[in-house]
Amino acid sequence: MALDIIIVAIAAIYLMMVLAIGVWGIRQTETTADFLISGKRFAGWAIAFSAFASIMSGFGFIGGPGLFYAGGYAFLWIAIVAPLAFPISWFVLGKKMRLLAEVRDILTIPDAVYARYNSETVRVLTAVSVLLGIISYLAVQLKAMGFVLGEILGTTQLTAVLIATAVIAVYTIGGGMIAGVMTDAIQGGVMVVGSILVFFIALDYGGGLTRMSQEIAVNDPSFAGAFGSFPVMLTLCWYFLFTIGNSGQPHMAHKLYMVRDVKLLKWGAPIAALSYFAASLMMLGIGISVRAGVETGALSSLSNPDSAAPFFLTEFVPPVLAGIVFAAALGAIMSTSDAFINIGAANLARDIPIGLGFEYNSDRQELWSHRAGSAIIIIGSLLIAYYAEILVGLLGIVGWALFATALVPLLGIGLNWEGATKEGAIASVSMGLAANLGLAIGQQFFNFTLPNSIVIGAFTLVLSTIVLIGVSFVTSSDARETITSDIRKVVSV
Amino acid sequence: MGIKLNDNQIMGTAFVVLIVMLGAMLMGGQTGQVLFSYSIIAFFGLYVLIGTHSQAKNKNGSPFLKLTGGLVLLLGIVFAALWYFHFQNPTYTDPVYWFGVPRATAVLVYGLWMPPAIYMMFAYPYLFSRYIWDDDEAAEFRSMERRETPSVAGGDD
Repeated sequence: MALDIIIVAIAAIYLMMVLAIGVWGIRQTETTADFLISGKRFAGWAIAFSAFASIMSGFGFIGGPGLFYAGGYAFLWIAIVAPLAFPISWFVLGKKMRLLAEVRDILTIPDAVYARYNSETVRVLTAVSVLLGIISYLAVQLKAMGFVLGEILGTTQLTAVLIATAVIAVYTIGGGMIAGVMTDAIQGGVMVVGSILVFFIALDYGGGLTRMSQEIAVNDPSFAGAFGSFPVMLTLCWYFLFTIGNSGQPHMAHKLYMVRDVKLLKWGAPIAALSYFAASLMMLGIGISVRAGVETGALSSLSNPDSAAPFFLTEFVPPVLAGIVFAAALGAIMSTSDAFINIGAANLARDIPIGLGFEYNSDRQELWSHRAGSAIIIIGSLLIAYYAEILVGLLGIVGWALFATALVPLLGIGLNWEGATKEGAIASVSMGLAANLGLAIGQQFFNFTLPNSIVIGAFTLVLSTIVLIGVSFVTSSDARETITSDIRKVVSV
Repeated sequence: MGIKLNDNQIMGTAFVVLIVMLGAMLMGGQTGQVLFSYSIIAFFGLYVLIGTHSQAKNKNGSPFLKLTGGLVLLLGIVFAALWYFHFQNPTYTDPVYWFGVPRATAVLVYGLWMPPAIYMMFAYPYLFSRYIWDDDEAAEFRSMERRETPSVAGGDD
C-alpha cells in the first residue's frame, strides 16, 4: 500500500491520544481493584461501549470484509448475532455479575466461578480454559495489528506490531482497566462513525445494493444467497455459538463488574447492540463492493481476502476518512487486546496462584504482580504469534469456544439456577476443555472434522451445557443447601 | 399471572432441547438443518427464561413470559420465511430480488439481523425499573455484609 501522509498523521495522532490516556490511567490506578475492574467507577454507557468495542475485534474490521470476499453473504451469520446477543447477555448476566461484585470482593471471572461453586478446582479449570483462549486470541490480534499498522506506515509487520504493542503496553500495564475502558469508549466512537460513513461510500461506489448483489452472483449465484458459498450447517452453528457464546466471553462479562451502580445497566443493552450494528455496516459495504468489482473485472482479484478492507480504504475513500477508519481498525484490535491482556494477567497473577493456595501480603504486592503479569502476557503472546504459529492455529480453531464452553454453563446457567452443583461445574468445564482441545488437535494434525460441517465450538458448547445440567441433576441432593447465603441471594434475586 | 414452570422444569426442558439440537447437528441434511434452527430458537427462549425466571418469581412472571414468547415467535416466523424462500431456489439461480438481494437473503438482512435484536434491546430498559431492579432490592444489597476476598475465604475442596 502506498504511504499516505494524511493517513499516517491521523494514525499517529490516534496512537498519541491512546498513549496520553494510558499516562492518565497510570495516575488513577492505585489498587488491584482499580487495575482489574476500574474500581467500579464507570457509567453504564461507557461500560456498554467498552463491551461492544472489546467484542468487535480485528476480525470485525479486517476479517469481516475478507470473509464476505471469500464466501458472500455467509459472513452475515456472524455479523448479525451481536445486536441480539448483547441484550440476551444483559438479561442473563447483567444484574447477576454486578451483584456478585457487590457482595464479594470479586475482580476476575474465575473469582465469580469460585464464589458460585465454592471450589478451587472449578476456579483453576476455568482459569486454564480462559488463559488458553486468551493466548490464541491475543496472538491473532497482535498479528492483525501488525498487518493494519504495517499497511498504514509502510513498514514490515514486525516493526508495526512492535510500535503498536509498545503503546498498548504503556496503557495496559500502567493504567489497567481504567485506561482500558476509557480508550475503548473513544475507540468505539471512532468505529461507529467511520463504519457508517464508509458503508455509504461503498454503496455509492458499487452503484447500490441490487446492482452489486447481481454482480457478485454472476459466476457463483450462491454468493448472493442467504448462506453464501458456505455449508448451511456451518453458518447455523455460527449463529448459535456467537449468540449464546457472547455471555461466555470474559472480555464482555468482565465489563459488567465495572459499572458504578446496578441501575446504570439499564441502557447498556441498546447502546452495545446498536453500536455493534453500526460498526458492522462497513464489513457489508466493503465486502460486497470489492467482491462485485472483482467479479465484473473492474478490480483485480485479491491474493489475500483480508486485504479487502485496506485496499478499498486506500483506493476509494478520501484520505481523512480512510485515516479515521484505519484508526478505528486499530482501535478494534487494541480494545480487544487490552481486555485480553488484563484478563490474562489476572489469570497469571491471581486466579491460578490463589487457586493453588498462594496468598498476597498486600494489595500493592498484588497490583505489581498484575502489572508484571500483563508484561508477561504481552511478550508471551508476541513470541507465540511469530514463533509458535502452530499453537495459534490450533487454539484459534476453538478460541471463542474455549471461553463459551466454560462460562456459558458455569455463569450463564449457574448464576440463575440454584440447582447447579460443584460436581456439574467440574464435569462441564473439564469436558469442554478436553473436547475443544481434542477436536482441535484432531482437525489440525489428523484432518478430522465433525460430520455435516458442524463447527467444533458449537458442538462443544452444546455438550458442556448438557453435562452441567445432567450432572447437576444427578448430584443435586444438597446443591441448594451448600450454596452460601449471599450467593443464594444473588442467584434468586 | 405467575410463572408456571419451576427452575428445575425449565432446566429439564433446556436439557431435552440441547439433546435434540445435538441430534439435529449430527443428522444433517435439510431436516437436520431445519430442526437445528428451531432448536436454536427454543434454546434462545429458554436461555432468556433461565436468566429471568428469578425476577419473574419475585415480581411478575407475565412480562418475561411475553418477552420470551415474543422472541421465539418472531424468530420462528423469520426462520420459516427464510427456509421457504431458500428451499424454493437453493442454488439462487435467477432469483427474485427484494430490497437489493435475493428473497431468502432479504429475510436474513432485513428480518433476522435487527428486528429480534431491537425487540430484545429495548425490552431490557422497558422492563428494568419495574421488573428487573428496584430501590428496595438495592437497599437490601447495600445492607448485606460484604464477604472477604476469595483468597482469604478459602474453598471446600
